[in-house]
Amino acid sequence: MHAIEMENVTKTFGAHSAVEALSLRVPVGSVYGFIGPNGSGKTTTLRMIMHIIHPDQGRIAVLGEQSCAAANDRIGYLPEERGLYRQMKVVELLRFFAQLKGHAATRAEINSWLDRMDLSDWADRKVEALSKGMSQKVQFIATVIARPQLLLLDEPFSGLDPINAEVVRKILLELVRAGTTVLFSTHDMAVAETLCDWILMIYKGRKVLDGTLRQIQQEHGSDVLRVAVDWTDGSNRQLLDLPGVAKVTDLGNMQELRLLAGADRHRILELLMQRGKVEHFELTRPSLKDIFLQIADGDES
Amino acid sequence: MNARKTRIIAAREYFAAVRSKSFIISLVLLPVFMSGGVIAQKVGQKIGDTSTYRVAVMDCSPGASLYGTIADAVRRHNEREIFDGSGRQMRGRFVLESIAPVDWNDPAALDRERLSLSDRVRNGQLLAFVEIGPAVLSPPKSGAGDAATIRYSTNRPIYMDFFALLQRAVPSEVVQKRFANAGAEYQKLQQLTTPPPVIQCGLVESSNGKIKYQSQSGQIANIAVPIVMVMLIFLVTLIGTSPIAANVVEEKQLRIAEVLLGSVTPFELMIGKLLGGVGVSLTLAAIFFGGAYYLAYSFGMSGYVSVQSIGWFFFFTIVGTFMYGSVFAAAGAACSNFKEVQSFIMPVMLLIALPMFVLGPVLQNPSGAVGMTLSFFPLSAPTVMVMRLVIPPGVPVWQPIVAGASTLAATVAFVWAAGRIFRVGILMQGKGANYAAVLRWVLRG
Repeated sequence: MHAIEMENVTKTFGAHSAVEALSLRVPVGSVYGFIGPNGSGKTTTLRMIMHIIHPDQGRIAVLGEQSCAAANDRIGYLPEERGLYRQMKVVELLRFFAQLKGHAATRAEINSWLDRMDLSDWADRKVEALSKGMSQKVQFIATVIARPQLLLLDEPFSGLDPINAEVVRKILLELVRAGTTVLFSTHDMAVAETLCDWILMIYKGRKVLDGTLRQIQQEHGSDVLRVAVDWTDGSNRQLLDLPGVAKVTDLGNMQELRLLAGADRHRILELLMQRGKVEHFELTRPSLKDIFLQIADGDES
Repeated sequence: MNARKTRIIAAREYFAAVRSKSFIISLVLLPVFMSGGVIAQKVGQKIGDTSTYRVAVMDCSPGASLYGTIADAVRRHNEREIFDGSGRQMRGRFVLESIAPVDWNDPAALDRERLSLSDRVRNGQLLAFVEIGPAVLSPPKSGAGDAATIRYSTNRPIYMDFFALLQRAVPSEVVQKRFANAGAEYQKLQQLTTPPPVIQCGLVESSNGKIKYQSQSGQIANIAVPIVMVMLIFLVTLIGTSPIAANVVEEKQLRIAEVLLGSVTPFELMIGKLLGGVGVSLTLAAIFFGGAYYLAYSFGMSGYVSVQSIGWFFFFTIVGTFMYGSVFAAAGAACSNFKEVQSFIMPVMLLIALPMFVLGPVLQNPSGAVGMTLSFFPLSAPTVMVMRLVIPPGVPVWQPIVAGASTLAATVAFVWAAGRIFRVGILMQGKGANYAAVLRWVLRG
């Protein structure tokens, strides 16, 4: 069962192709990360899923419905560019957004959400009195207050301080445990790595990665070594000449060696020990960022 | 379209509008605006005029005999005509100043005197000066020119009290003197030559078994009711709809639009806004129309507006609000700031306000070409047809039906087109669209 199914969806704006033949399936109950750099087509895709804009080609089904109107009340949507009615009181505003989703939110329910977000004292204040961070938290509550089956969040963590980002992360995981499917977009790949069951990477309107983090790492990534060496005088400080090393990136206090498939890590360690005192030797899986940069490099070349 | 969501949007828009300061101000200002002239007049009457006005009179008639006539009229005015029943001075007092006659055959001296008197008027020493020519008492002859004229010169032509006094007192005295000079019996000839009065009356009506002429208030109502009705429908529809454009622009600027579009379709959002606007217009219309009707009822004038006219008034208020509101909603969606909205909406505003510029011709001839054309032209029909309905004898039954149907059809078309503009424009940021782009949105969707 899939919460969202897209088949060969294409959207162009004039001569610019925003999304090209995109297909995806979001499993029910998963946390689906939609990653890619700015301008890659993430927001356009989310808007098409919400039927705010219509695709030129392709098919989109949401919660088993072809028409968004049929499923709309079961979807919570947090757009990237968000705002609130400044003259409304926080309580009135949350009740209004819950009503739009067909949910009659009680005062106790609203208070409970505000309490969790540390906004209890602001319940009867106008939105214009809130700080930007507070407004973002109110916006998040407005998105989830109707207990949607599917949450579409466009850059949900942007603008939140680390403490509030952690609160939002916890609530999202609670909702997922309660059966909600979460699809969120982010250009912060580290967030996607830690939170997502499933990741889709979009680049220049095209899907370039789709799968679990493990699958993506296995399919697209090569192993990476992070080493720190205290060189002895006169030793060969070159690393690129080591057998099986494809690329070296200087991280400052450390060097990152991208290995070719089948590279002998023990042999590399031996050679490094001959050249100096090895202070750090770590084998890591490639990060999403590495994989993306690899794909982007390939695309550019 | 989801009626529940549209209703929720409409309710929010309605309560946001009626709780706003601008709505409260409208509630107070609209009646003031509509009755401003009457109130100003009443206030003016209450305050009264305690000024003293100095007028110079240069009587060049033989024997300067007309100066005395003016002085008598001024004395009567100052003694009897300037006080109200309680003895309070309500009108200005006049003081005369006699100017020595100038030789009419010396044009240079005459011009110097005129210039000197004019300067005194300019300096505020005099309200005006009067010149009575040397030939005014002679029978009129062609070519007599200024010499046979009474001239009243002032820089305050709006203030008519002294001029009226002059007109009342002097010409009849001049005629009497001419008769006397000719040896004719003035009184008898005056009786014979006094023409019968021609007066304007209302219709005869039967009330409590008595047949009588329509009262003066009834005649006033025949003119006042159409003006009040047209002002009322024009203002309540605009007050209900014009904020829609600003609201839409604000929702775009504050990035609320896309949040809302996560729950409602653009069309539902727009219809919700229009319904909210209709609610505001109807609230205003009910308050003001109810108030006006109560006043009319209290003065026994409620019969001048028929039930059918009231029904049509509310019908055109609703349809007009939808029509104008859709234009404002589309303008808000197509523009990115208030300044753009103002210039974008200007041509349509001129069409909507057109009836206000042709009130006179329509009142004079409600079934004339101007009235007929504008009462069937959708943008002006709500105001002009309502006005024509309440101008006696009204209009044939088919006319409001046809005008209503055409306005309704146009409104449906406006809402449809506005929906297409709204759908594309609502998420657009940056520079607003031009007319060509908007037309393209309408045609292509």
